[in-house]
Amino acid sequence: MKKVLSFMLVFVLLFSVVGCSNTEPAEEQAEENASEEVTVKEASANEGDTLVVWTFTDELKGIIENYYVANNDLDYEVDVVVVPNENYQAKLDPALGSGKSAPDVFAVEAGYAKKYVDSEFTKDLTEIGINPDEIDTMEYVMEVATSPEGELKGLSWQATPGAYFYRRSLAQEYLGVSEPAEVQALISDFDKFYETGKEIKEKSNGETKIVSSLGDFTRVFLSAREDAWVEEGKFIIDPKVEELMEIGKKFNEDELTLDAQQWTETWFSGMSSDSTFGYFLPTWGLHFVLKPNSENADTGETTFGDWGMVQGPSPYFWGGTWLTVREGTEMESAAYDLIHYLTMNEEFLTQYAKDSGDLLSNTAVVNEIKDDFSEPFLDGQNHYALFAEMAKNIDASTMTGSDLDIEDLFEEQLVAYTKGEKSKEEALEDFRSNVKNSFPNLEQ
Amino acid sequence: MKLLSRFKNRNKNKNVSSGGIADYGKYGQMFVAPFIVAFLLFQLYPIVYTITLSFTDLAGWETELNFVGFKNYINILQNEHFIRAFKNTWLIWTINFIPQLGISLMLAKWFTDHANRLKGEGIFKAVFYLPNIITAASLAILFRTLFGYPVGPINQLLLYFDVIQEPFEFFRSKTGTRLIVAFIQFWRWYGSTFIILCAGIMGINPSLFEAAKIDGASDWKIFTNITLPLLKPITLYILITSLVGGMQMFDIPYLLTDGFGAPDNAITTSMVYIYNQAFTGNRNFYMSATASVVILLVIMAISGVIYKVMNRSKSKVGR
Repeated sequence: MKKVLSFMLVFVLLFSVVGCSNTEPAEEQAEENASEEVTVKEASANEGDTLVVWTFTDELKGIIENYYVANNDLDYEVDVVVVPNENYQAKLDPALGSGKSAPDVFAVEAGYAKKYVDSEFTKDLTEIGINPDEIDTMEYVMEVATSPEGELKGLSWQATPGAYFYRRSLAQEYLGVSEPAEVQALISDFDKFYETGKEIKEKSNGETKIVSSLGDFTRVFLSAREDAWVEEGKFIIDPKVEELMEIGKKFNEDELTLDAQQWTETWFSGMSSDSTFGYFLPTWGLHFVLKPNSENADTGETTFGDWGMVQGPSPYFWGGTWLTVREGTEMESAAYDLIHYLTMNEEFLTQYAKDSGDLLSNTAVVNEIKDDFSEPFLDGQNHYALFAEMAKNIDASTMTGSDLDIEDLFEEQLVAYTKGEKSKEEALEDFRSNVKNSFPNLEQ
Repeated sequence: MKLLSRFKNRNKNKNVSSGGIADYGKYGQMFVAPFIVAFLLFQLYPIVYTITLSFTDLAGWETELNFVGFKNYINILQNEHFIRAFKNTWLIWTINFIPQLGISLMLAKWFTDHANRLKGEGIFKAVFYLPNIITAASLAILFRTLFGYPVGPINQLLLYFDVIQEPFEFFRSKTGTRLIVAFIQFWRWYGSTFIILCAGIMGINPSLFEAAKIDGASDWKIFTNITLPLLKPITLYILITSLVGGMQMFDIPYLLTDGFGAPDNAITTSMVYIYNQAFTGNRNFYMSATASVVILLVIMAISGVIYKVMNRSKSKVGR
């Protein structure tokens, strides 16, 4: 009897062991399914009393001070440091590398965002409590800030499609039309843009030019490229770049521009006088560049209300600001609060959009508010809905981390070629040489 | 050998007081000591580190030094960008220095010649020195706006007086931009050179001038045979400090145009090259370090040559 009992016990034990091993794979599978979901960690508590934010223009400083700090009770200080864009990378890189006097949160511009997103110095946002699946931001904005390993390293509150702003009264005078749809028909591609440019110059006896500087075209053509500047360690010059050079030369030879450089006195002066018919500017260009410079400081005359907005000859996007968190920061909770407020807090986003007219990248808020806009500067036109439409077509796949540095070197060659100082081969040769000098490791 | 024995004997007479006169030699050494200490602490380490970097390939965010021998030196001497930057630096400095020395000498002679009795000497000296005090950034913006195209003040002036028919784009002309940089450097430093030369001339024994006048020497003869030769030590000082400063010319060329020496690298000086290598693009610290060491060696060599040439003729003047 004892032998039978012991045998039965053994069999029972055996079967239970076999039973367990059968269920184990099922449990493992369940665990695997669970780990495919994103694990979002809570942000750790603040260990300091100041949140240091670095940015490259005072746009973000204004937003943080007028909205974030003003509307929230914070038990820490927010210190926003503005470093001009030309010096931003030079100042930021050593600070990040050494970790000394480095910011907790820092903004990055489209021209170099990828460099920081792909580096080890930005934090994966899931580690401070931000779940990418819960974010309602436009695809391209998220893609730019996603590292090659699939980590979301940054977020933005804005999308930056580009448009062409024109003067209605000048359009009426020289072209006979002034409504956006009619003007767009006259400049719907670059050939038509060129013809219209000649017409404006003739009819105004050279007083008005269709565009102020060749720099206006740069972003338009660069956005239409298929190849990025750097792909897999190789430096590539896309055909669109050569097209830009050709168009630039054509416009210069026929004197269809004011021959100014962007961001100079002459370029700004056209916004408050009749010398320029229109400007290529993106979303932030309206409230950050055009509106403030529309009043002539000497005569007090203003072009307010005389502008209209159209897509122009080609869709493009220009710039954009992403907020990233430094790996190794001691203010994780504060960083989370700031980023969440600026990019996901619908109350703030709605208010900010209404106050500034800046296009948001949060699709829910944009869809809610876009039909209520009527911009007096543009004679009542609803620019917001138009920009919202344009944003859907933005393809930011050709962005790289060295865009700004390379494009700075390209600017000189573009000017030299379009002014007839060099042949195209020379200009491209010198461009390659300068890029090789700056980036010796790139294959040419 | 002579140098070595001189070095050994330098302390021989240190504590000997000849005929009751106290010897203050060791106080001199004490006063210089703080500088030596500060130099060793703050400057020696960076210098040694730079030289070390020039033997590596450190760039960007890398932290480990990877030694590559003399490869960098061989490469940089064939690097067209560095050679061009070096030539630009010499060109701009020479165009700046020769008129600077000439005009400062002329002004110094006028201001120290007692026969002239210039009124308001002090005010003139202050005004000449003023450009040296203005910050480089302000000057760069000022000149950039002055020579702006197409409606900058200089263009408007030239058009008004019919010197040119159409506005001229100064900053697209390589010669134009180089001359502007050279002029700014000249304008900033001629006051300083002038004051030092004045001090130098005033240090010459006036009895020499009186003796020469009594003998009936003309102004020009006095100038060339007494003033100039006795100014040799001061001129040597000015030459070497101007050379060292000129080789390091950075602020104006960097700020005047686009930061890369536009147009077409015309005003890319050695320091602009070094700065851009270290702080833009790939941030190639090793290139900057190598370039710095090369420039250091060149300056040392040239200073040595100038010193030798000046001192050889010094012994002739003494007779």
